[in-house]
Amino acid sequence: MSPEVPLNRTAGQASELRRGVVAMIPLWAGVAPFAVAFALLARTAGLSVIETQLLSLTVFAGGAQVALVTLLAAGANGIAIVLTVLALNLRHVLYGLSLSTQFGPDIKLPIPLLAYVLTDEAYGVTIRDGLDGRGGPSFYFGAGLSLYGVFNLTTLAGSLVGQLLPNSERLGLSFIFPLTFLALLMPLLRHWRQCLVAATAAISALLLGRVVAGGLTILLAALIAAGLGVALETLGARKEETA
Amino acid sequence: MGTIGLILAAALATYGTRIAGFTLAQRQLPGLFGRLLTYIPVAVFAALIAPDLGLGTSEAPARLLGVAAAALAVWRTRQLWAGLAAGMLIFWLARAFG
Repeated sequence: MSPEVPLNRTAGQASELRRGVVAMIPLWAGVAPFAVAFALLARTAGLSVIETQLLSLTVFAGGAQVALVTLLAAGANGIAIVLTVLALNLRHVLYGLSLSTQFGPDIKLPIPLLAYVLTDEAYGVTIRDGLDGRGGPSFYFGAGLSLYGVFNLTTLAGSLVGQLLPNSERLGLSFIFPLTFLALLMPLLRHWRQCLVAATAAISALLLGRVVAGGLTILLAALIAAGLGVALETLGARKEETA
Repeated sequence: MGTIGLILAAALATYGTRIAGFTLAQRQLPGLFGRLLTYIPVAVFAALIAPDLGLGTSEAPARLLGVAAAALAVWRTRQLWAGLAAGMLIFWLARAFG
């Protein structure tokens, strides 16, 4: 791709925003059926169309929404439900930190707004775009809005006409998610240390998934594996010093 | 707590996790933390993939074949969409004929 020299900052920002919106389009295929499935679940659990939509508009985190609705239907305690949602979403803290490092201090868009559309997917495509020295706040915000729009429109579609659509579970469209993260992961594996970190994270996630409550798995697995990466790096540096 | 109240509480908790990283990053973080962050993308993506491979279920072979096809496509083309297309296609074929 040819480097763009924006005529002025606003034009550059707008085109980066557009690029972010477009970068997310392949992921719509996975998100749309998920939102429909969530809406069906929510309506079956007894939520109204408005309550279902309110979840997608304000929580905007698929996994947490499914958990909330399932627990609510099972008659769980409100505080327990909110704590589960919190645990499921704690990995966002890492994403925010990681994105801030990539964006640097020069962020023109308001941070509270940027934070509102933070998801696994927006984080993923922005980190990938950052490999080409781009992936700035405008690109990220475009990617986030892109997903927000589709997620909410398809939630509404699922609420209203969900029963008429083919069963997405049977189509297996959710398999798009691991494939996406694989495609995002591969360009990052440039050194044996990163491969080892990835393998550790994968194994930790599988093992922790059996013992830890849902959402904490990703957070803990990521911290364990990243910690190993730093430890190996430190050991390597020490060895070079003594050699 | 009514359902709307519960939804708003969940939204607030979620937003808290979203803004926390951005806010923390405005402060001077210890160097070790910065080094940890350089490994976070690799670690997070791998941790997100593994539980979705369906290991221990009847779909595992189809999923692993799909993942292998996607990896090959991404490696050859460096395109995200090519990986998704190849992975889904092989996954569907393997599931249909497996």
